[in-house]
Amino acid sequence: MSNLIKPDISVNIGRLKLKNPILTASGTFGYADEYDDFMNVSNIGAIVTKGITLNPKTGNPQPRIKEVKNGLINSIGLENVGIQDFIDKKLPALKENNIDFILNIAGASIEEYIEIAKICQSNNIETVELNLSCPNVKSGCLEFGKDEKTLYKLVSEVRKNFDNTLIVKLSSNVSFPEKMAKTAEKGGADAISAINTVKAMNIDINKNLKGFKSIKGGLSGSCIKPLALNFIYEIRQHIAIPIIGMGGISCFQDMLEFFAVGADAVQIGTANFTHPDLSDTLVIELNNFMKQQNYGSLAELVRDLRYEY
Amino acid sequence: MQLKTQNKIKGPHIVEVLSNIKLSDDTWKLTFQNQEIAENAKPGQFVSILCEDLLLRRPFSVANTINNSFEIIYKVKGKGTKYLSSLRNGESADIIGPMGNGFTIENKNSLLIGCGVGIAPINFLSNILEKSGIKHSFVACSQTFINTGITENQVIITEDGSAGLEGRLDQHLKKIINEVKPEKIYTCGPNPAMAYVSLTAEKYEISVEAALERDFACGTGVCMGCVIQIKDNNKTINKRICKDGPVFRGNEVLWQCPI
Repeated sequence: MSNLIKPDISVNIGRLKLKNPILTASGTFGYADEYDDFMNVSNIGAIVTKGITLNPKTGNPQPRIKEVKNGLINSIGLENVGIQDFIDKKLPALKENNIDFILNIAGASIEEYIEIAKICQSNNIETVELNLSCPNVKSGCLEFGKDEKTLYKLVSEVRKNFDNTLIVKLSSNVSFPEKMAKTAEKGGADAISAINTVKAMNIDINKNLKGFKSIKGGLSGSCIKPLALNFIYEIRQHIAIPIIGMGGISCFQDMLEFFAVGADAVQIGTANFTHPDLSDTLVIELNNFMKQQNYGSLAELVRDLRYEY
Repeated sequence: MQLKTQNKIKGPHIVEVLSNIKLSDDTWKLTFQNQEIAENAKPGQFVSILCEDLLLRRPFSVANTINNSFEIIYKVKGKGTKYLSSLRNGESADIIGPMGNGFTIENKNSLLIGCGVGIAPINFLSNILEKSGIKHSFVACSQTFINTGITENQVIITEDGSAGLEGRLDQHLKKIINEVKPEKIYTCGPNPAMAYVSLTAEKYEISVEAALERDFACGTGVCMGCVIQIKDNNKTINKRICKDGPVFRGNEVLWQCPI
């Protein structure tokens, strides 16, 4: 293939046609406007918004973040502007700047998820990612992602109320990943995204052995990459729908590893904090790599990378 | 070609170290060469530096700009600042910025109070006010003397008496306010010091701007990790220190809450 021809790096997730497989993970990219200073955000496949709830949420008290070795524990508690404010204030800017986005939604009850899904449907939101795995809110989220019966009910109910592309984001805090993935597929999910942050805790023991500072929350960053790779590897052979892989991706090599174990697209999360231009750089690197290796399409590259079961 | 990266206004910039000098036993001043940051930085704004072996960048207030270079002042405390102290002339660092909102500069008789490494943005502000011909006094408080090189209009307070007035800020502040009769106070330092400044100024009905600090994850405003509660009429709302601040009005901060 000639070097002058641009490789086809597009990928389809349900009805969503992504111009490339590089997305940014929920909670690490805001609603995109903060990243205008670092890149042309419309270059990346899509951004996944901060998790949106029916009503605005003020989130958890401090401390909310703690860096640990090769990782970050966060306990934000889904602080967000609420679905209506998103539609009124954030959505027009995304559209105007030609930024493809996926709306991450979270609820405290099945009814709440359904209500948000209905609002998304009536506002022609093209793609929704169901957050069933946030470890930082007391009710809902993670609990929905833990047992098959509840997961099936939730996904199928949302499906009935939302015609467009539905992605289900799974937690790794489960005993049988493949069962949860199969349940989400059966419930009507168009794709799985995984993994969300992993439940974790840090404690700082001080010299006087009193008043320890501690934090419980979700762990992210490169320390969770082996967990994420294994999770995706375990669910890949059990489902037919696409997988969007994430968990500790911080360079091009990491991204290829996720394709190898079964991901069709990837999300960049915590690494956005360290390298705010990373997702844009990865798009360029992927294009260059494919040209150098004479790949005409992403599908060909992924086929060659896929690790056999 | 469509894939060309644009919009990299705030970096990441790979910047060269021009000098790295000790100001006291544990406090250092780093000077970096970068035209964009030097031209755009305002007092109170910060830069985020990628530090070896750390996942997250570390934020530092811009302490001054001279031509195409800018300075930071840092105290060696952890891995990040230890890395900074290892940087030598000619080496480079990965920096984004300037980030956040700086101080509001007004033509008012101003009192500038910097405590510890909080001297950094106050030092920068003092230079800008000097250039603008705005009357101001600079109080630099620290445990032990930090030699930032400024002498004019400067009152030095050291806890160990190594320079200037001996003692703590709270032993001297009221006297200084009575002498200077400021219309506006700017401060940066540990939270108890800024709280004291802010609550004292309130009694004198002087407006305060304070540059706050907290651990950041992103430093760009997306992660919501650094929020504080800010008074907004009769309720409180969350504001991000990194994006909505780091400068806030003293009377909108809930100083009684741990920051």
